[in-house]
Amino acid sequence: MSNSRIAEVLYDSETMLRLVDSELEELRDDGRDTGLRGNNVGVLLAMMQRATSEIAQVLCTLHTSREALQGVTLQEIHDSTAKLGEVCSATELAATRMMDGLERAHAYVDRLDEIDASGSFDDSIVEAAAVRAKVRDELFAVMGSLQFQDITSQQLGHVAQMLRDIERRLHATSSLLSGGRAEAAVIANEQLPTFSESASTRNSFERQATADALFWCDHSGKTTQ
Amino acid sequence: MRFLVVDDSATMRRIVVNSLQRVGFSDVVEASDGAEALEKIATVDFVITDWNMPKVSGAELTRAIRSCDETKSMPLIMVTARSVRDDILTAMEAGVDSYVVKPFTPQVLREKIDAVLATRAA
Repeated sequence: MSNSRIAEVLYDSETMLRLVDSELEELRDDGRDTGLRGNNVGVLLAMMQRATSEIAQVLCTLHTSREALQGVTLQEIHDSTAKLGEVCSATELAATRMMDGLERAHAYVDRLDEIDASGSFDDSIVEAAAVRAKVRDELFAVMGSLQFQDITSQQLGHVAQMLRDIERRLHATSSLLSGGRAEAAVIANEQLPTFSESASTRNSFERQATADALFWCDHSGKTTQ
Repeated sequence: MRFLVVDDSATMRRIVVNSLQRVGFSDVVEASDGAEALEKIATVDFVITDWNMPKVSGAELTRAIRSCDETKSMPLIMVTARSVRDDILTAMEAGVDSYVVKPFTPQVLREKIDAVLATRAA
């Protein structure tokens, strides 16, 4: 059932209860007018009014629960979307960096071929050594870019956790609305990978600086004690 | 000097091992979680550990190392994607000597290793 449909049903139920309440009041007034106060009809009316009041309270609780559920779920969906967007940009950035590095390494290998073809020594040996060092640097930078895999897998682990929370909440609501007759949902129980909610490929320099500052303060405190 | 690299991600272990080799440390053993690290701790001189791992986390591993007389002075660096202030403070309280935020470069790792060794030597 969609959110708008649930809201509609709750609104209709509350309206119906108000009508019933109003009818009961009229019946009670009629009973007073015709001298039926204190008899069985009066007792019955009082019971029905109590029942109506309790049903109204249940509807109010359902209304509040639905709003809370909707708020939390929407926030989690928003956060999941943001995390997935970050995963997309992180993979794109890592792929671009690796491609750039490989293209530069390829150009350096071409240069090494040219040096070999020139047939001269002395300067060529020195230049070839420098080019080989650049190739190593580029290949190592490509390896470093592969750290995105660890970070994005943590971000995806966080998204999986949020989806599981939403699944549990929807199942609980479904059970509530169907009076416990909802089919048993198949909620995955397998262990999710460990993750950090703050895992990110962005601003690593600033985040390292924060850690360094905290350690520096701690170290300074210890040495001055 | 023999290093122990602890990370549940095989890719990250290879990156850390290669980074160490790149900056001149070639004697490295590996562990895929804190429990395996504790089995190998007696054979190494320096620990580099991730935080988020199954069974025994990096923070728990650090506390275990610091609580044992034989290993309490072991140099230890945490290399992790966790970078919020509270996480860093928790790692400090657990007893890490230094903290490297992922993604990192071999140069940053080398700086932290040198700083930890210099502090120990002082």
